[in-house]
Amino acid sequence: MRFSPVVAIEAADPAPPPHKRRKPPLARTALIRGAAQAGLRPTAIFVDLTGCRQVFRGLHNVLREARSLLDRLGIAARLAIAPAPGAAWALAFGRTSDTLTETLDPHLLSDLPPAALRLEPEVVDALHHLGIQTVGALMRIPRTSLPSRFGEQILLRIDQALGGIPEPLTAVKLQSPIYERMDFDGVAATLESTWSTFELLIQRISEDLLGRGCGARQLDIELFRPCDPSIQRTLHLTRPSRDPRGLFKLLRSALESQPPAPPPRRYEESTISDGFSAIALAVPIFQQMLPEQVELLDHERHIGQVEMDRLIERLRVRLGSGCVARARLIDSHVPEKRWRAETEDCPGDYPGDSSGDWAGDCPDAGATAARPLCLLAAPIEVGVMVAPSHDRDGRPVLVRRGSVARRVVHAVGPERIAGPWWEGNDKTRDYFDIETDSADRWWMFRVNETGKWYLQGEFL
Amino acid sequence: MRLISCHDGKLQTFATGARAGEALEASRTFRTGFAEFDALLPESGLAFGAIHEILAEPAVLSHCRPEPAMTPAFWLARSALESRQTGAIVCCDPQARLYPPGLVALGIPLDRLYLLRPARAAEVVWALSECLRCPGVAAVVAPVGRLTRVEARRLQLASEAGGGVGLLMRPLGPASEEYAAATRWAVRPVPGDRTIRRWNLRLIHGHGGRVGKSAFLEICRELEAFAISVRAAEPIARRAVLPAAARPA
Repeated sequence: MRFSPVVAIEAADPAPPPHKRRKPPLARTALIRGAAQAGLRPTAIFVDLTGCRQVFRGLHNVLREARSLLDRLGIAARLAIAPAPGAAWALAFGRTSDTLTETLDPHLLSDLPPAALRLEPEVVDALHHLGIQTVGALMRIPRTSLPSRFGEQILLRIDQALGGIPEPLTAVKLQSPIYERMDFDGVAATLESTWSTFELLIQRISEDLLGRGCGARQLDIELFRPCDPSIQRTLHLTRPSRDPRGLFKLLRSALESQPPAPPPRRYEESTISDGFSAIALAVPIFQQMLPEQVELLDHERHIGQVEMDRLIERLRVRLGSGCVARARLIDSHVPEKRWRAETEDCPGDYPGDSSGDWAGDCPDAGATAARPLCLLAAPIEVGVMVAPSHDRDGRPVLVRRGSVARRVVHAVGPERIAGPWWEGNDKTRDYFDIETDSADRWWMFRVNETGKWYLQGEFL
Repeated sequence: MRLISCHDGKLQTFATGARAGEALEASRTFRTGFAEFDALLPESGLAFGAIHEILAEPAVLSHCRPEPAMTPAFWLARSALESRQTGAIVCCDPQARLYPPGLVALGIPLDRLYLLRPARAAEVVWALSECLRCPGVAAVVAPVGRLTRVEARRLQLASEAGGGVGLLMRPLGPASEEYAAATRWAVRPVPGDRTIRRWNLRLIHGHGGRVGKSAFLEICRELEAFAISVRAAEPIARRAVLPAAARPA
């Protein structure tokens, strides 16, 4: 049998924050320590001990060292070492003392409660109601009848606990958060000192990012004030960046703009002059920055793309996230539903990039008939005289908009557009492109069912 | 050394040497491709890295404020985009009036269009100058009202730095007294035909251009046959300086 010992640590209370941990006394304990740090606040930590027997001179030493390390850290946990992760978890869950087993014996688990098999709470409840109190009792039920009563997962969990199905462990990568903070011994009240502190912090953060080969996607700024609650701003970046100058410019424009919530005073007047006791910068979201291969002839386009992304970041930071939008056509014949504005981030979508589906999602995007450049927010009802009169199919000859009446010189149409049938009645529209005697170019329609006229757009 | 010439009653100076060559370089200018309109332009075409103003004149009988002349402005933006091949069009649309399917009909690809919607009027000039300063922007189309001399100059410097075209739609009159534009066009909707929507574009400022002369921009309003054409408003004498065949098409 393949031997793959596993330790499961069931932490009874959350792990203390990383900075309270002491230096590891033994290099060999780094394995467990790394797992404990990486998992942040887990309820269980799996450590793969494959090949560790020789290093620790026996698995009982692993158990002992893990126990002493956990005791020193003040973490209440239960430990178990078993050949399969499922079995180790079950033993750590079900036994009160540390357990080490080198073989997988079904009898070893038989006295444990069914919850030790990592089952869903509903399944555990169902088993409890049926009077199945142990894993042994569960395994006496015919295997084929289990899935229909308790779901497919129960067989998987039993097999995982008995080592019948391999359960590979994926390693959690150790990544400490990027956080820089500067505390002042008094209140820093001048604008210059604030900006130079930001420059220093950004320099440190970009060095940290450089070491990791990453760029920031989000930047959290916190300005601590002696009496008032701290000011927080968050910057989102379209593409990962660690350029200190670019980040500083972005941050500066974010803080120079007006604060989003009351008080409606500018930062310089209200807060920066009041002074700060500390400034902190954090990068909660960062992303690997791969060196980009730029095609020789594409160089100009690439620069344009990078500059465009930066421009949009600057605009969004200063004016708000809804201020820059892209237009996307929608496959609809109703004019006001023909497009939508997208203010979401769309990194990679770049002007002239044919890979996007900008035109692709709309089959007749190119063949759009004459459409106005301006559409009113809502159609305005107008009075229209048609010729021949009393004819629902007549052409407009006079349009009254507000108090002025205009004679229609030219009218092209009708273009009949009907809404989808499931959206109520009175929605068949006959559109006319008209020109009045004062050279107004209007896009009007008549609702076929009611005979009312509306002005919807202007050809400006 | 500077060369001084007199053209259309205006005194002009040209720098010689490396700078003159740079200024006349074809890649720094663009043309619309319609001979009747291009005949009004300065010798090398409409300049990139400059501001061009589209000034709306009120229509003959209209009492209301002139609306921005959007069709001619976007037509010029499209010409700039076609000439540059890459780059984006940023369109300032503070009141969310613009209808992008209409731009598609004019031939502007939506994948290159960015809509800019500044919430406060005070931010407009800042946002426009940021856009103009970006090398990835081919054209900025924006309705702009009154500008101070400093603001107008700031926009012009930004477009020089970025290399894109700024097309400002302004009303003609006292509100557009301050400007720093390479060319200015007075645009007026004029009565068209049954199938043709027509604008009159008159060059009112532009060194080396046919100031005072005008052309008609015509757009066919038939549903199936959408087309743009340009007709000269009055006969314009051929230029003596450069034969027409030698000019880039």
